[in-house]
Amino acid sequence: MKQNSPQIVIIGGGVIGTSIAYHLAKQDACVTLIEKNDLASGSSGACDGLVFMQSKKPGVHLSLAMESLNRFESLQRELPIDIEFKKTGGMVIIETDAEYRAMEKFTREQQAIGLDVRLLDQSQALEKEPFLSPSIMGSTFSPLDAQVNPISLTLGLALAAKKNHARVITHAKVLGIHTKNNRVTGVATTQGNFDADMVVNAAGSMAGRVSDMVEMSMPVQPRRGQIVVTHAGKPVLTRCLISAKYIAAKYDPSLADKSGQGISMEQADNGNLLLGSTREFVGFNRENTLSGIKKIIRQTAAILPVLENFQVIRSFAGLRPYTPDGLPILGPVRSLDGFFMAAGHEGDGIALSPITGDLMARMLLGQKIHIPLDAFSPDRFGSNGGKHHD
Amino acid sequence: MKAQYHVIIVGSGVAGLSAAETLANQGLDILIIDENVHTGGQLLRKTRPTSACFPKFDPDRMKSKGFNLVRKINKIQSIDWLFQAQVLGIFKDRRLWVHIEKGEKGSAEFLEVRAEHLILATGARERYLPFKGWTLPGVMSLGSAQILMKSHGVLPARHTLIAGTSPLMMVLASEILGNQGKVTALLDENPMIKKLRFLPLISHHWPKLMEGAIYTARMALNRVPMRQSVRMIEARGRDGFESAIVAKTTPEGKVIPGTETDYLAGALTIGYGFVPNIELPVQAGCDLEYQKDRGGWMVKVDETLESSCRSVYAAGEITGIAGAKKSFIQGKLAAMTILKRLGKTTPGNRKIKFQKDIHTLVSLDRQQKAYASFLNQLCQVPSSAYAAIPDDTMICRCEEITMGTIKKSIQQGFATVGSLKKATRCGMGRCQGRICGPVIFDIITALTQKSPGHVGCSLSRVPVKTVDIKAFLTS
Repeated sequence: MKQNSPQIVIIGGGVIGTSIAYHLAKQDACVTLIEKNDLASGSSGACDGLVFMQSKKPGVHLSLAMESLNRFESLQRELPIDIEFKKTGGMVIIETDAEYRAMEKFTREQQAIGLDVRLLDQSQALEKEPFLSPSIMGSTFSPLDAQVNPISLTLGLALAAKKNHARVITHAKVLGIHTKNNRVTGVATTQGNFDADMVVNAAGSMAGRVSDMVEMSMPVQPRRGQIVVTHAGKPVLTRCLISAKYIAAKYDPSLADKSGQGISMEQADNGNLLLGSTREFVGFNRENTLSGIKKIIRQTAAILPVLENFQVIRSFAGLRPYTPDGLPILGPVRSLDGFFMAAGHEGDGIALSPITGDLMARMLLGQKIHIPLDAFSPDRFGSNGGKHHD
Repeated sequence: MKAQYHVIIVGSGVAGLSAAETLANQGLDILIIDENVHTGGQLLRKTRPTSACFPKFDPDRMKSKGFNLVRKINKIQSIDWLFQAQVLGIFKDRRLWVHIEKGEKGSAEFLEVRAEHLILATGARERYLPFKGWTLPGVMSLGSAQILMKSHGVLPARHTLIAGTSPLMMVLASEILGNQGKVTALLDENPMIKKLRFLPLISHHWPKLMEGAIYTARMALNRVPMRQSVRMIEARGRDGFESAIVAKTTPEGKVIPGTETDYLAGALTIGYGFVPNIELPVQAGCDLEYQKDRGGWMVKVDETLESSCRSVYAAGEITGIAGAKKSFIQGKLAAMTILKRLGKTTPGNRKIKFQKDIHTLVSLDRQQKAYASFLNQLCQVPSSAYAAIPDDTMICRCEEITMGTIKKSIQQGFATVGSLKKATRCGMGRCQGRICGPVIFDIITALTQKSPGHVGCSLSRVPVKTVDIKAFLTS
């Protein structure tokens, strides 16, 4: 570790916090990560492992995701544990004519910026995934979409950070952030005080609460996503799937089907199917509901009828950090020196974690950044908290 | 079936039944849910009432008590029953999600039902000490061997080897002998000195001593070799269990090298005591507490058996392992607490008698605790035994995680049940940690010496048991 280098404290041991810690530690920075519970005990340990490119809106969001995708392969090699990263390819399942027309337009936009994505009719889609229901209209396909084990990714990043001399403190709750002359000086926790020249708020859905400690309002809201897990069965799915309704619910309220929020499906390495997901605003409640579980199963079984031979072994729910404009909040905060935000990725935290960690580390160490990040600035919301997306 | 009941009882073992009896004939809507095909829990599983000349010394006296209960309750018309039905989850306001194996249409279906008052009497399951080869076919728990014989009329094998720490080893041996089976040997890990801790309890529990004497005599009469202070080291066999290696232990429970002997048998049954079934109480939101001498993690209750969740009561083994008698008392006590709350104690001086009855039950319940802690201590193996499990031993059977992997992850800092699960996948499989959860807790504790509160407990999620997706699509 370099002498006299700035002390950086990261709040949050999820995939974003550990990725920043890893990228900083790799550059010999003085870094301490503080986590309230266990590593990956929040949303990073309660989500699916989709690294989906097709679901991103063409523009800065998609280019960020593409940058991130390229880094997964090197992480697979660098991290001390297997993160189960696989470029499986992904499909967006289309169930109605209206969805077909919308996806036609959406894929054209994506193709225009050079994304490798194409539209498949029903028989082409079934050729790729024979267990899909013949009742679907078709799908899109992109070979770029991938999947990863989100828990292994988070733990792997933390272990690698530790190897590079980062301090990782778990079961330490942040009690307050010390400031002096409008600059952060330290973080008070249940396990003592930590001096800090820079503090990074990577607290996921709790990021708003951490910002409140320095009287700064950040419009991050918890949005509950429930996921259902089946027993480890024979391979029935090689690619990860989302439904067109998912994209609709994300970007285009006019397309959103009121009866469903869109689903996602993947089969993990060991055979468990992960079926998701709801998108609910219920505060910090992370319990599963019977209606949520039923909805997920009915919708996924309609697309993948072979599910009827599977058993549910558990369900869980995570709180995705929602922001009003659907983009993460990355970078320094103008009104308090040394305070940085790295939160609000909602459902994209896993996919965007490699690039987020890299960019934040560069930013914190004052290095050059080749991607324009104005769209992600914490200062973009102003006083009204920005306008809402759905 | 109704959509809502005054009282729902989950589990129709001794605790559940004695609660039902107390609640009956008070004008209350009562529902009993049990996942088995029969009532009576483990105690009465597929047995018939027998008559004894000296009921007080009869080892089966709790059973006769249980059968009396069943007889009485069967006469009561006002109680609804659901058998072969699993409560998969408990949601806000005591709403139960129930899976019925054979519904009205003959196929599986779901039911949602709400309880104004909920009595959880979900009992206990067996605790394990993994050793090399414990996952071989033919190696089973004492309870599984009992189920084999009682429910299916099948002996574990012609020759059965029995090992462990549990006093139930004697009961099983006796049952095997009664079914014309052979017991190769009874290998008790406990030294005599540990059993002598029973002496101060004799005044309150002398029938237990008689019970022990009767069983020991039965073993001697049938020339069953009995050894003490020996630990199971390895189960061997090609396709199934063929032989076991055991070794002597010091009074502190350390294996003495060079003392290994082997036993040939067709099956090996093992028993290391019980742990409370806390999955449903966790679902209901009940706080837990850890009491090593009462079975580990259990439901925290007040004196009248109400949990930290209002109107959710816990009775029987889930408030601390203690056997049938305590379950009997607690079922009654939980029911009385509910009756009191519902104002079913009038008229006149019945109220005074009622209050007295509650006091009697509370003190009876306390009396059981001393005996219970003796029993649980007897079943406990020293912490060092968990630390000494060899690296290639399987710990989580569902996900096939070995002791070596677990040890490595603990050294990396994943030293809570929750973080170890994330780091290794132990407890993420089909059984959701019901088998390996308590074992993993004991391993972490043995290796880190951290407090139970720090190590934590494997918390179940909905559904607490696996459920066919088909059931969602048909109902």
